[in-house]
Amino acid sequence: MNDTRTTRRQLLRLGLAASSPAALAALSGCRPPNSESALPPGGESPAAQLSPQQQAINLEKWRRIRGKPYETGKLGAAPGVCQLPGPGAKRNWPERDKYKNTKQIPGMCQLCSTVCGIIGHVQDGRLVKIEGNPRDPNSRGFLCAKGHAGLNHLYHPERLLYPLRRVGPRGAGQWKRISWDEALDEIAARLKAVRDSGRLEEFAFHQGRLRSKDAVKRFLNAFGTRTQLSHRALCSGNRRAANLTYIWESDWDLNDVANTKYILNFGSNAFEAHQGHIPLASRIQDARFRNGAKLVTFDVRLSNTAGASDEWHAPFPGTDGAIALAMSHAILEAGLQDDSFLDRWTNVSAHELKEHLAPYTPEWAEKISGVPAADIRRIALEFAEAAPTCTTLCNRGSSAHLNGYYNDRAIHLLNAVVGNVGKKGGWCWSPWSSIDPALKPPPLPPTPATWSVLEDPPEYPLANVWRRMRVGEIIYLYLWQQRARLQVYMTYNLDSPLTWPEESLTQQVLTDEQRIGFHVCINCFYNETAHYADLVLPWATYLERWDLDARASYALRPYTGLRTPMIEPLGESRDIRDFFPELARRIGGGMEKWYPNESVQQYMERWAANVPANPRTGKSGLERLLDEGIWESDRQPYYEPHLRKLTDEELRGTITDPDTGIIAKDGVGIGIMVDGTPLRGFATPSRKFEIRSLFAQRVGRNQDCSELIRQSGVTRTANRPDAHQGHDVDIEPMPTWFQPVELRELSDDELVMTSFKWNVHNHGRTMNLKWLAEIVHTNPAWIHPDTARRLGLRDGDWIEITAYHSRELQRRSPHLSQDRSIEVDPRGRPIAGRLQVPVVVMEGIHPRVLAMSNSCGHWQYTSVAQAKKNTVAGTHLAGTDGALLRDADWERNMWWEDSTGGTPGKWKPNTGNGWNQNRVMPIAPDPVTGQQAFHDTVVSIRKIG
Amino acid sequence: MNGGFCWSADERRATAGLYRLLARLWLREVDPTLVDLLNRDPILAAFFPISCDTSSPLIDAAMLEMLSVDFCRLFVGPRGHRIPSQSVWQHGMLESETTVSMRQWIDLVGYASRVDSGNVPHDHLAVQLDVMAHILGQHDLWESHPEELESLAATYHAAHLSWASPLLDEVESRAETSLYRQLAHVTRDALRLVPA
Ligand code: SF4
Repeated sequence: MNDTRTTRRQLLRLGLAASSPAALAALSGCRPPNSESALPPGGESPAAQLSPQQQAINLEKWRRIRGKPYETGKLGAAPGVCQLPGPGAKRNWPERDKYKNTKQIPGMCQLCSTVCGIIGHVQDGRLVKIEGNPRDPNSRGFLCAKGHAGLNHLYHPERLLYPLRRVGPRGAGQWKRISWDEALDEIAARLKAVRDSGRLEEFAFHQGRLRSKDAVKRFLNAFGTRTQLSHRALCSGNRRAANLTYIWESDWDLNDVANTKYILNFGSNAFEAHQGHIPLASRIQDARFRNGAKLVTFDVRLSNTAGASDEWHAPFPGTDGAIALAMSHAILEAGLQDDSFLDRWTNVSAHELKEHLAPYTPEWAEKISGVPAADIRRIALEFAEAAPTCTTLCNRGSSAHLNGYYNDRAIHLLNAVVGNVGKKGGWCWSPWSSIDPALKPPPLPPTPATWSVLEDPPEYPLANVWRRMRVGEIIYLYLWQQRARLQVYMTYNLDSPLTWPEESLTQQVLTDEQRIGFHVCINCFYNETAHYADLVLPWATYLERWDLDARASYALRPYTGLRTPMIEPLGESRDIRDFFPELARRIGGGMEKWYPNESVQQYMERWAANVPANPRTGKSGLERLLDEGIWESDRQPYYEPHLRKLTDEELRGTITDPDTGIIAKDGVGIGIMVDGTPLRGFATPSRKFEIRSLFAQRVGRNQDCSELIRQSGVTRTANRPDAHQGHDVDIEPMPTWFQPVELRELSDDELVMTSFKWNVHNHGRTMNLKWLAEIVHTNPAWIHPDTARRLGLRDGDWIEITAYHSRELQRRSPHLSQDRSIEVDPRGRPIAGRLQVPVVVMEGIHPRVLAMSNSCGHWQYTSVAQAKKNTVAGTHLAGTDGALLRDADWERNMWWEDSTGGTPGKWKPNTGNGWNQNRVMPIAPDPVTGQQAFHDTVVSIRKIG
Repeated sequence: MNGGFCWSADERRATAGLYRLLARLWLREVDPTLVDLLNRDPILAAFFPISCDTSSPLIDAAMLEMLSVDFCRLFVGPRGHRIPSQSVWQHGMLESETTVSMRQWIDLVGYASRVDSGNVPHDHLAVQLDVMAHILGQHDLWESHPEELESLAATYHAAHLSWASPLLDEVESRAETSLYRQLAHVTRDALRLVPA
């Protein structure tokens, strides 16, 4: 019947058949047969099952409007899409009045962890524009490109809108739609089985970017598992551990760049990607333009930050710490150190430090790093002369190495040497890493006492001491090695096959139903993790749900922002705040008591109750946040907290140790006596900035640290000598530096592979957004002209990369190789994987480095991320206006599709969706903290094609 | 195509019935009641053949699952699907201005259905077909104000039922079950019944 056109008569006969009472009953479920509408009622509630009363056409209105009730094109053909004017268009962009009649709703971006305050413009129930919220004290109204592309995220045509159940084998990609009721019933039954088994730790929640911490904690604590896995070790574990080793109270240095004169940047690409990206980048530029601040960057690659710096130096990979120690050496050698800070406020005197640093000369550092000693010395002295308005800056560039903990210890030390610690314009921090502590979430269940090797691997002594940083990259390996098993695995906003090292291992474990019994994935899009799920739940986007959120602010005081639904969640997408209570009630057994009967908004009202009234509007609590989006307290910025004098009230009942001057109350340190004045000091065991960390050393050796913890006053610090038994790790108490053996002995034909992020992408969640994918969608390997000459390579030529496991780790962390068969090449090098990619040749990279970006190489995550067009034969590219060069289409107009399928020799530059570097990146945790060494992989390359 | 709305009341009623049937099929997966209907009624069975032995629950379940999987693959996701919504097909996004326009039409013509529960886009083809069925089903108004109703129906059709051709092409070429291939085929012809 489908070969020929159906006649009118046949169709009318069909229509009549479909109008019979029996047909109407079948079409409409329980709908009375005389109803005029075929769409079945909801089925969710008895009320929804009633047939709605159809009304008559409003002819009077029709006469009045004499045409379409709604004229499309009010905001352009596809509002929300920012249409750039083509050559023939009137130059009236941006249209300033375009959004003046919109409803403005505050929110917070979540396309990276910076969580910039935003304002959504809503018209006719649709979000048509996202702007920065100028009230946000951290981001100050600025947004990056990703923030604007939130519209692509919200209205993406391939968003997940309904719960899905796997059909067929896991990973085969066949699905059917199910109802939320069915989905929640199944999850509840699985979780009840976990509870009945008595092994509650076998329910793991594995998060990617999580900003609803209270909601997850409530659910996991109420259930009784502590197996909450994260990606922190893939991100910032070393920098955090280095900060904590020095100051304990914060894992996040907030360089006061806005007030500084000199920024010494070791590998941070702040202008493109950083956990505080926009707030930091905008303040760096403020300092440069307003204070004349100098920005010096060390990076193996000419990033946008390096390129926009006053000086760029390209050191050998992972030698940042060596350079930093040499700089401290140079400053002490020149006598430019701050003796008073060192002697009074650190636990190592200037003299001792000078002796310790004696071997670390600039000449020594030059041999290791390749940066001329004269430059190291000159920059060190410039830095010291600018003190105290100078600061170091670092992030993954220095941290994501096997020696990253020591790199960052060495870098931070420079600040103590010049005495800028906590000073305006210097190296600062804030104890408020989240929302204002005045706002307490409604009471949470107590933390359960379960333990899982996945969450707390004993091999990494500093991973979970001060904070729970966890060691993300070992999760799938330990499951593979059967050191743990999961009955229920709930993933949330996670793309582990793409963002985790050793993609194939991740895939193998995710597919294995023996190792992971049941996998439920919560996500807005079908990504590489969802592909291996048993159930997929459609998650509401950050523009459709509630949170109170904030991060450590460069204003150095706490604030609180509101994430609120700008529109109702599309389709049947829901947030965990909405369905966790329902799930908890289905699981029962006491969980439900942590979920009183209230709406999410009522919960948020309770949480935000302490937001004070705005004297101008009289609004307080959630009402004020709904109005303004942000509330910032009027505390003083957190400068030099160690100098705060203890109050009489604080001093009541204290005892001062006559030897150390440490002031303690009930055995817990609260301050230190300095020249007869009781001061708060640093929140460390010595109450000083701890250049020498006996604590770190003792933790590594599994020695009892309870006394040190009491003295610090940071009593939540873990003292777990038992948990680590048998896993001794030597942690140097003083800042020092070592080089992994494979880098020390790098042969002439080997390179070091590093990774980087672009300014328009986060790691795994933005390549589906067309505005961003249009800008960056592929990632050929960057190589230096020397390498190109050696191998006869030109732009666009293809190479095969062979990546190797770390020899250093084979010696230090033999547990990583257990139960694995690792191929070894004729030279005895353990092979991690092979990858074929094209190259771009450029001077902007160290000659011994090969760099590949993250974010590319998706094989799921929508057709945009895969650069697959969906053009329907015989039709034009929807939404594309060739005359005006307008592109209102997100999906089909994909000019960068690679028609060669990635064939070496045929591939055209700037096409395709790139390659996932994690295919060849080995699992490589820093032995101290567990941070993944993304920048240390030794590779060899050969020309192909 | 008859070039105008010179239809009898019965023809309008039949067209409305056809649109309602199509709307239901586009809206969501078939259920046992609907399969039973499509199997039992000879005319419906001729258009939408489902070889399903309703007396055997096992075969029935397998057939229903196969149809659900095909529906999901084509219209729900998660990979390579295209929601049959005008916004997606015309503007490459969810909830473009055509959704707002549909909301206004729904208000104008007094149509009410589960679309208000928010889980189906207002410019979903199922809703759009059902709204047309609703317009055609206003028998008294068609008798009393035929010209205005014609103009309204034609305007509505042009705005919200003339976009679907690429969708129907794709469903015809990608469907793995005859039900959904046939759905696309019949819908294409059915859309020609109402003059644009
Ligand atoms: S930096 Fe960009 S992506 Fe990150 S929160 Fe801010 S606007 Fe969003």
